[in-house]
Amino acid sequence: MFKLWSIRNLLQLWSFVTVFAVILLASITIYSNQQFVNTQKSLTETVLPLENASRQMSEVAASFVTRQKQLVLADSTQAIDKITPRQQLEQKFEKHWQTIASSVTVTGLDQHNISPLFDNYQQFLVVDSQLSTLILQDIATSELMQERIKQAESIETQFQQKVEAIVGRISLQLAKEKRANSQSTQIITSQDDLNYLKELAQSSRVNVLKIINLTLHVIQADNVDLLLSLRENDIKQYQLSVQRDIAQLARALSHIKSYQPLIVDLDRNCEQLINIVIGQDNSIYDLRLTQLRHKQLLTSIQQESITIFDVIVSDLARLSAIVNDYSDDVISQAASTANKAKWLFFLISIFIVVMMARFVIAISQRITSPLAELRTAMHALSIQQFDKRLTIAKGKNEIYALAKDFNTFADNNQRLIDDLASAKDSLQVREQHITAILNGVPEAILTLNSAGIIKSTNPEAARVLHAEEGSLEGLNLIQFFAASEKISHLADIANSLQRSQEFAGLDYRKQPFSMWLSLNPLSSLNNDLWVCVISDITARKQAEQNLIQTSTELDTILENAMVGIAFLRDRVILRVNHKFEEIFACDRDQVEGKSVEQIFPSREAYDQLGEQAYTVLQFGENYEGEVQLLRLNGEKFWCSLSSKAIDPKNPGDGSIWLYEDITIQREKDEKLLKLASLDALTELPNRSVFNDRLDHAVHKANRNATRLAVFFLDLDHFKHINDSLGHKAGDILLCDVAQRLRSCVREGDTVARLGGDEFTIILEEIRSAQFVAKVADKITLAITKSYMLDGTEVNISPSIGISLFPADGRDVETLIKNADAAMYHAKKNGRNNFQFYSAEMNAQASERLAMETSLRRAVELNEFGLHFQPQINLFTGNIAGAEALLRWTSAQWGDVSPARFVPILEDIGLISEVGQVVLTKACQTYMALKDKLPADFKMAVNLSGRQFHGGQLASSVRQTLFETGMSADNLELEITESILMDDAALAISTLTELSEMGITMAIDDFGTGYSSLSYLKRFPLDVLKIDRSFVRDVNVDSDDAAIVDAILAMSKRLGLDVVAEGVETAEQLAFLQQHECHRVQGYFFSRPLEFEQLSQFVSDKQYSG
Amino acid sequence: MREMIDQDNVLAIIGNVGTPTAIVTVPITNQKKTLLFGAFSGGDVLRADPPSRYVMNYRPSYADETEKLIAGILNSGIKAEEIAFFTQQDGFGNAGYLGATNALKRHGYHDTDKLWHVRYSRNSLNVEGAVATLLNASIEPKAIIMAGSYAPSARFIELLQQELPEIWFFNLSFVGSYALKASLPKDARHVVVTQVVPDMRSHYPIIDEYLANLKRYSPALEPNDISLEGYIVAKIFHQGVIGIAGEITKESIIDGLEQLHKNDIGLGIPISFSKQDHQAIDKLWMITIDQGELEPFSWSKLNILQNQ
Repeated sequence: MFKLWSIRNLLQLWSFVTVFAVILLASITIYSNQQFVNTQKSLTETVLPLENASRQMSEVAASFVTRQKQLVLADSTQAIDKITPRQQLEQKFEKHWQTIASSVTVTGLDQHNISPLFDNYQQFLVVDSQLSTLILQDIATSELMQERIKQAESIETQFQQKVEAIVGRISLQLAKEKRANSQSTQIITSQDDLNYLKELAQSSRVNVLKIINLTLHVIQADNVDLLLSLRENDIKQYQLSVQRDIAQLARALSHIKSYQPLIVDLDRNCEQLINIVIGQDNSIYDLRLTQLRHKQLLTSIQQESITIFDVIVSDLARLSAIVNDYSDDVISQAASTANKAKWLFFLISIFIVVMMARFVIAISQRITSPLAELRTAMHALSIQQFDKRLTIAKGKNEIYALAKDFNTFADNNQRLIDDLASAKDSLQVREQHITAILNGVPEAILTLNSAGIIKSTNPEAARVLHAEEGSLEGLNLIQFFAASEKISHLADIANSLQRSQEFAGLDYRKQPFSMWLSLNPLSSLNNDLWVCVISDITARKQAEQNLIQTSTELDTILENAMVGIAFLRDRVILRVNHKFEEIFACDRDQVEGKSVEQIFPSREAYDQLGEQAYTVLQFGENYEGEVQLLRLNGEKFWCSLSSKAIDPKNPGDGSIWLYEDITIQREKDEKLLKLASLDALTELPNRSVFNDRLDHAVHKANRNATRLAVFFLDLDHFKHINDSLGHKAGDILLCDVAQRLRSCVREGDTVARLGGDEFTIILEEIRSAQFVAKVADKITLAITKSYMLDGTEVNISPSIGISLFPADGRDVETLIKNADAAMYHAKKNGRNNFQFYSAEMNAQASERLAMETSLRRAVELNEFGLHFQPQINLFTGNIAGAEALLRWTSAQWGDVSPARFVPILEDIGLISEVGQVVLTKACQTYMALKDKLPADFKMAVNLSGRQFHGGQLASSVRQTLFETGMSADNLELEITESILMDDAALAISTLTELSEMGITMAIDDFGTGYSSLSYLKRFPLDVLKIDRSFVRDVNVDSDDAAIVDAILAMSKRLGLDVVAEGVETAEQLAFLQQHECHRVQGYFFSRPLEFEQLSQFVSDKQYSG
Repeated sequence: MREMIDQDNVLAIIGNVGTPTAIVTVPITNQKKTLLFGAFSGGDVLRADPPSRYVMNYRPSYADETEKLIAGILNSGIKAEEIAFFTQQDGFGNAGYLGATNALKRHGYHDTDKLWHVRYSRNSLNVEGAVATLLNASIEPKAIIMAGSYAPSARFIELLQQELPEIWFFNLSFVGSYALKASLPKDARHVVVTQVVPDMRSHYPIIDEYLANLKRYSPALEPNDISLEGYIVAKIFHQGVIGIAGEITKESIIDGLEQLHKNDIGLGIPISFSKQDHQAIDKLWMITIDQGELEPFSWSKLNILQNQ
């Protein structure tokens, strides 16, 4: 919740909610309070006073009872005084009664319940008063009693003392008299008398004591009868006794007057005592009676009081109950309201707490944890952990904004550091480089100050300047200049440098040397430090001198040469000499920098020579020949050429050409030739001329130590043609052949007709047997091309025998004989081939024989392998197909090029078998890789013309497809134009059949050999393969480019696919792409691959698409 | 007593008078743990051994007094058989008699039952019988040890001296020498009173202090040995209380008094209390009343008599 809110908003919401909640709580509180106040009011106004009054009344009632008890227990007036005056209690009671009465009316309680209470109360008061009165009386009585008792005791004591005094005095008197021995009769003198008196005294005292004793009984008597008995029976008796005693005493002492008053006193005392005890007027006896009476009354009143009080108590209890009920009602009402308010309060508090917690969590989430993260991140940054970044959450949260900025800052920081680090690294590397350079360069590198003083040097400096290590510092640079340079300040050096950086210098040992020097400020900001590089160029200068000298010499030679010399590169004239100008009647400006073609009479001548010459040149051999060239004034002339590549391995270096005008000589030769007899038909030299020529050539060759070759050429099956088509056709054919032969050889070579269908050729000044073989091949090819005779297409083939001078003979006869022999050998060999005569060549021939044998075995030994060169769809970049290429790895021969063994296979008739194997293997390969390949993938297999023989090709192809399970759609068969040479009709029908199976038909090497556009019409073709020779020069040679373009355009129009072979560079590819070539094949994409490699290639292509 | 302690919450009670009263009050003070200080009684009930914590006395016991008297009497040549006793018929009288007879026993005379012991009723003057008895005694007493209040004692002395003028009357301090002197006839002699305070005319600082203060605060009153004793008791109490450091409580008062050691109140003898000693002094002074004058008594007076 609120994930996207900013902190500020959250806080605002929080405060709003809090305020609202507080207001709500306040209102509830106020409401609740109000309720409380109301209830309280109700309680205080009615219930509480009621309760209070009721309770108080009970208390007062209890006080009444207590008071009563106290009264009962009170034993003195002081005690009574101490008791609470009843008035107080009455007041209280009545006050409370008023309260209750008024409350009752207010609350509507039943009056009848409480009114009897008051009446009972009144009754109680009455009884209580009675009780009080009685008790007071009783107390008064008791007090009086106490008084009386005290009095009695006091009297008794007096009595006792008086009696004692009497007796004492008498004793004393007697004692005194005794001592005085007096006989006075004042008193009783005898001891017996004294004793008698003492007895009386004692008796009286005892009796008095007894009376006192009885008095105690009286005090404790608990019934009237007993009282009476005590008085009548006991006390009075003792009274009499005492009186008697006293009387006797009186009598005994009657004669002593001084004792009389004492006796009287005694008597009086006794009387007093008796009075107090049982006399009238509140005697102890009376008082006791009263006490007894009081007691009875007290009991009954108490009883009554208790009864009334019980009633009051029950009244009060009822009242209390009523009041309680009422108050309970009021309270429960209030309680329920309070409860409700409490719950509401509680709920809202919970709400507030929850919201508070929620907000705190939210805020904390937004502040504390991000802050903590921020802090951690900052800390990480501070301890140089520059890769720490914060995770940014969405939202408008200020903290997150901060985090974002932090991240940016950290990123910048990181970048800065990285930059710094890399700068530092590169600086370090730079430094290292510089140090290495400084240490490594063979030049002296010095740093100078602006005065020219050397500050530091590199190690080489010492060597360059021929000084000892470390001896250069502090020296001035100026001292290393020769005087001739006139250098006195650094500024002079700077000035001189503007002209040249080479100076005449003096080394440390003051030896002169040539100095190359550069001087630059170390930095554009600091002009105080300069860097100076010094090179010792003495040797070079010397070399330069030598070179100039040599060059001058060479130039002289060149210009003075007797032959025309031209330096060519890529058939462009770089430089010519004077003689050349002479020969070609031009100024060198006219030819230098231009193509050499302009000295040729025709384009064809230019091309022909080029082909002939460069073939030789590339092997490092000299090319020599006589050609007809064109002077710039338009004049043709015969020229003897000699050329050599400057560096055969590097054709880019160019070649040197020597030209000699042999026009005159040539004319002589021609004249000579013209004199010779020519064959009527073909206008070729006849036998004699040939012999002559050969003789001539042999001599020349002998003389020049050059080699020559003699060809004996026989047309195969000429007779057949002659017979079938007639002599006229045969003648025409012979002329054609002658023409073709002539075109195959150089101008200097001889083609002669010996007769019939025998021709001879002399190749002079041959370089190698290979050259000869090449010519022979060429001748074979030329001858085997079809001829149109009366609208009929005819094909023938030659058998050629070749002999070489001097290898196969040094004279004409030997050469002729051997060539002838070689020719027959060729015929034996199956015709349509050439054979060299020499044993050496036979070795080649036998080599060929051996290879044949090997090839035969090869099929059994499974030495054939298939390589596949992928074809790429230029538009999609996907693999579009693959060309199956036959490879033969022989144990004996190693890897043999198909160009060598395929013809042999064809000759020995194994081509069909091998071809079938190839086809089968190719189909199997396709099936193995089918899943990785696009649906329109074409497995391309080459067909040889020989395979068409027998007419079984189509069915065997069909069979192969069926056996391997391959679809015809995925098979492409490549054919060359040469298949038409033998049996065109068969070829066409087979092709049609194959095409109708759905197989894609492609024409290979299109544009080379017997190219005929009409074939495109006749063959059921789907694909055109542009020969690699055109592709190779497509960027360089505008002709090739034009051809390719034309082929592509034409194919497009004809609805044919095009495959460009031999794509080796991106530029070629670009060209092809530009011209919308469909498929391409070549090293640029892949060389031919073995199966595993192809599989891998296909997988890679699949994934890289 | 109970009222004072329970209701008035007194901290200590000073100067309870009388031995029978002491017999009642001592249990109360012990129970209520309130100090009874300087009771005007030499009774043994106030002198338990070891002393009760809550009873402290100034004066020596009656036993001490009687011992001193008996010792003096016997030393002066009067035979034990010639000693008689006149006592009040109550506890005080009993104490005096018992003390004297115990003293006699200590001095070797054990037939104390044979000695004449006459008594008079408390609160009466009926001493004639006692006089008569003594006059009829087989052996004429030469010294009478008296334990009684001054009025009956004075009457007794008067009546007996009429018949036997040579008898020496030895009173316990309780009688009060000044009171006795005032009650006796002018020609009375051979009356000796033991005192627990020095002779008023002797010059002790405490007596001077007492006389000065009495004149100052109660000029109407005549100085006498009883009030002097009261003054001294109050003075000692004061000394004990002012030494209290903390709150003055029932217990701290006792502690304060118990700590009094060789305290000089100007009595010429140091006052010491301790936990074991709750009697301030042991010294007794003797006064003789002769021809209405109080003089310090010395036993030599008795000897002179004997020699005569």
